[in-house]
Amino acid sequence: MLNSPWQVLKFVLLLVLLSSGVQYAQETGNLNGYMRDSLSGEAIPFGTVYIKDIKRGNKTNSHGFFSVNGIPTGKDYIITASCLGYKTKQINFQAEKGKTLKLDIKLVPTVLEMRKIEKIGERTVEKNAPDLGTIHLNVKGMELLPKGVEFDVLRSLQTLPGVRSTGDVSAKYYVRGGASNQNLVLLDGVTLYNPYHALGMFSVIDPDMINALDFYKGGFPSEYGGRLSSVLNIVTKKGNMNNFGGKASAGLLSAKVLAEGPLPFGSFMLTGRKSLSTEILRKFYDNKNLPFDFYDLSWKVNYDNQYSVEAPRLTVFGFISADKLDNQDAKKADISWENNLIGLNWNQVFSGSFYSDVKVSYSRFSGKVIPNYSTTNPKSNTLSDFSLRYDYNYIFDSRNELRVGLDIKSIKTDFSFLTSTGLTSSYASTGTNVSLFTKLKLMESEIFGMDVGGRLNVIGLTKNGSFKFEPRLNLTYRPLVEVALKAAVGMYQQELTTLSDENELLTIFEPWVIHPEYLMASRATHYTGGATVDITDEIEFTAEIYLINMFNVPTVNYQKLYESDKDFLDGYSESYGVETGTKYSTDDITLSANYALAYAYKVITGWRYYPKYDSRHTINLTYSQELGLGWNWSLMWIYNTGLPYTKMTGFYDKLDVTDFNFNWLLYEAVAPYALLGDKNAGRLPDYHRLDFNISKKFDLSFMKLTADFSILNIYNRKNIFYFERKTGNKVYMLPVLPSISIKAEL
Amino acid sequence: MKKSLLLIILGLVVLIGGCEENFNPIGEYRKEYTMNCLLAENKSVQYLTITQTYPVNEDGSAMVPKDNFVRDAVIRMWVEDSVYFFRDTIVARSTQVSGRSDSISYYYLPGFTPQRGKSYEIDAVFTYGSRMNSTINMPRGVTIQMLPVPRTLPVKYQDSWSFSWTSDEAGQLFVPSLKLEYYVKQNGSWNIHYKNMPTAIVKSNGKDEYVYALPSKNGSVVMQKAALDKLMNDIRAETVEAKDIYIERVILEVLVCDKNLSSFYLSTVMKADDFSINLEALDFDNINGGLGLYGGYTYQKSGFLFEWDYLQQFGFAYQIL
Repeated sequence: MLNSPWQVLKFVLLLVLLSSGVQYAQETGNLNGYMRDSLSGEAIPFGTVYIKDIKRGNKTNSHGFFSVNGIPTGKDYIITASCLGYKTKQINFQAEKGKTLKLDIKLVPTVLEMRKIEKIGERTVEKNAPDLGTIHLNVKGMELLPKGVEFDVLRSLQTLPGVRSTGDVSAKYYVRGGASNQNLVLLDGVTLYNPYHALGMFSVIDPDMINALDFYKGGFPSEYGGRLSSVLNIVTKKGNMNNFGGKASAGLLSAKVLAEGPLPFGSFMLTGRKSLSTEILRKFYDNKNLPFDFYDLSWKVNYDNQYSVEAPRLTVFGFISADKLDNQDAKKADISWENNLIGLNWNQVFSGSFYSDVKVSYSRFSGKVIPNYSTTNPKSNTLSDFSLRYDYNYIFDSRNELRVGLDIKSIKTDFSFLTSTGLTSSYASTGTNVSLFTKLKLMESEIFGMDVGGRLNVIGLTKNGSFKFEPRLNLTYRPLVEVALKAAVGMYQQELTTLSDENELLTIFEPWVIHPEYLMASRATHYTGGATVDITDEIEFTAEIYLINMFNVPTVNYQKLYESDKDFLDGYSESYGVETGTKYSTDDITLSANYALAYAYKVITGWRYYPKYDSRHTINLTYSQELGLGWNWSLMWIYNTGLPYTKMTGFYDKLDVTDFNFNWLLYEAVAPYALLGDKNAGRLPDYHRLDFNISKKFDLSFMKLTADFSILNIYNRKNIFYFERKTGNKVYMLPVLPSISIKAEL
Repeated sequence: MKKSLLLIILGLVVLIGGCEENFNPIGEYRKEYTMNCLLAENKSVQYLTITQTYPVNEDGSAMVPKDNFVRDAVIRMWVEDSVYFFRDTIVARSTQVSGRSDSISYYYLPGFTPQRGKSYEIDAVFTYGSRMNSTINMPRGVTIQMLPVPRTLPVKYQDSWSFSWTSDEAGQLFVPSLKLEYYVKQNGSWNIHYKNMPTAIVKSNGKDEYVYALPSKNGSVVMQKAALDKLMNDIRAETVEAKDIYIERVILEVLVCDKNLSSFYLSTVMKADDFSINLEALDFDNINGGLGLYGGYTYQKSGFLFEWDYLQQFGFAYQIL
């Protein structure tokens, strides 16, 4: 009997496997291959291939791979390949019965962005794609995102509807009411546990090494697990397969270099970035000195035979980022944290439409606070994650896709610290998560698409997480050519959390721990609905509505006074809202307007409150224009209603024990101390700012130069970061901040 | 036309956006009472204060009242079968505080020294009927020793050594202090002096600086020989003739805080780091019916002598003559 969701899924999969293969195998041929940049040989992710005669096409995945199946034989076709930033290319071909034609498409990059042409192709192939809450961006697409002092991928995400921050001081992001530790950040598919430099002000990911990114705001598919809120998968570049080259750039914050070039049947890429000056950090932090020294280093070596689609593709890659606080003072604490990551990826296109991806990786995070001769509490955290993943994809002639995979993660965490009342806490834990995932993407119909699947945690990181199933469903229905209706529902599980104080606006690093045994695995349910309307060829309107419930969400026990008290309390959180976006784009102009109405609250031990990132209304307006001759300029205006804070209800005389000594007079040693009202019941004033950016590309005979000038917060809006209760001072976020950067590319 | 429109819009945005909005961080005033009392083993008079909370100014600062002491409360303390009553009095402030009255009201219990290991319950009843109470257990004390075992300084062939103490209770904060007791011959007579002893020398902003023992839950203080050497040289430099200085001993004083005072101190003084911003750090109190702290501490000390060979190299006097 079909008495569990897992059994139902297995039955559906079997039916589809049987029906899809038989129906199409003999009357049609297939087409697959890679789309690449003609100059560098770099894969082009999220490009479009489209066969007009049969109105069929597909998008390339993050490796640049595409597959179009079920092409009727006996006829000549023209395939149109396009992507933002490249000249559209048309190729003649003929499908052969029962065979798969391999095609390596090379597109020539252009200065003119050709947005309109690409858009039409995209609409046609994506009309039934079940992609609610998903954003795919390649390099060219990312160039259109707003820049700050330096382009930062995590900061740019904050401009998307549904993504929030606690101000322009931090790059930490919060998606649809979820906490920052509920966001999964993957670098080439490997988990990056602390993606921040300098107190979370910047991400560790150098934008120059990014080739593509997938961002799921919710309802993410079954190949992703282990987090409750969102997924960001960053795919790095493989390096130039045709010529040696390099880039060097310097801004106010850091200097960086990139070297790349061909290897026999492959390529390599090496990037490095190093902080230059801490002066710019002062602007972010109330003009206080932040002597952080940081760097990141990334490398990749690929075996990638351009002349054979079916040859295995092997990639070995590594990433290191480190932050160090150099006080030069033994009376102050030493602070450092670092990420180390290494991975091996083998992906293979087999004959027919099999596509497999095997990944072995090791990711490590460590952070420590050594107090030296200061009154700082010591803290030490290490996390090591050894993962093995096998992912197998099959595309049927009917265009349906079946994906199955196995994910094994062995994680070890070790954390020791002193609580605020001086209690010693220590967590050392090891766990292995074995998950099976599968999904079926039904793309057969012209007007209906479905992505149905699930993830079974055969063994959880903790015993409380074993044999838990996470069903996922994503639907798209297009009743009219211009209108797509979408819906998604899914369940998610998380057994890792950070033991960080949610009252902290800035944290040096968030220490990770596996859930202690007394906590249940955290579970979330996402319900999402939405619509996309192509009002004209240039104007697109999207709207999404969501409801997210999270159960057993661990929250640090701030009232822990005794050793026997637990460090975590179980909590519940709920968020819901509406997001809309309107985008007008022509060949040279992009104008977008996003609005989000959002509600989020948490319930801990019966107390209900708004989390620190809950903002009711958010508006983002962006205008960018290409002026020709390499000139680009853009304006961005961000507005959101005030974030929560806790009001003061008075002061009391608190004993001042900082000079606690033997002759201390109790009746004189007092100082006013603020009494707080209900947690986060007040609201800060509304936040808004206007940013301006202009850039110019110079194409010299021996190099390309890009000069970039930005002004953040043009009208010097005094956005309140927080209110200093001891002094009664308001601390503001970024003032007006001009910046300049220059990039040279050989 | 388009450019003009854009400029107008920009101008308006700058004009409107650049202004700062009014922000009121104040909620409804909460009237409460605060009781602070620490029972000290090294004092024969115990003190207690009761004050009222006060509102917030419009700018978010404290509306500090001239006098917010609560008088005429009946304060009793029970220990086993005995009960003690606190008295109230007024004294002049030792240092003037702007906006506050020149005198302070407080309650006191004369001729009373708390005993180690005993439980003390305190109860305050106000004239209009409300009450606050709390209970503490005084620490049972510690056993002090020096490691390695010989109780003379410095320990031969060692760059450092530790003064340690053991307690049969967990979770206590220790407040250690090292003092050097020495004599200086001035105008023909030997006068006693005390100097706080550092435990180490560290580089701070490029300069050598002393560091002193800090309160902690650790049952020891490690002393570097280099710090002792520098201190001796400093003392030697204070007097013209080294033979006019006689070094007597090192005194280790240890305050042992009860659990409440330990938690209070650590939550107030210790911090996560210098950079994290926490707007709602734990505010410890243990008073039923109000705010504040009721705690206690014991006081112990022990002396350690010097090796004559060591003092001789500085030219100090062998004995007081």
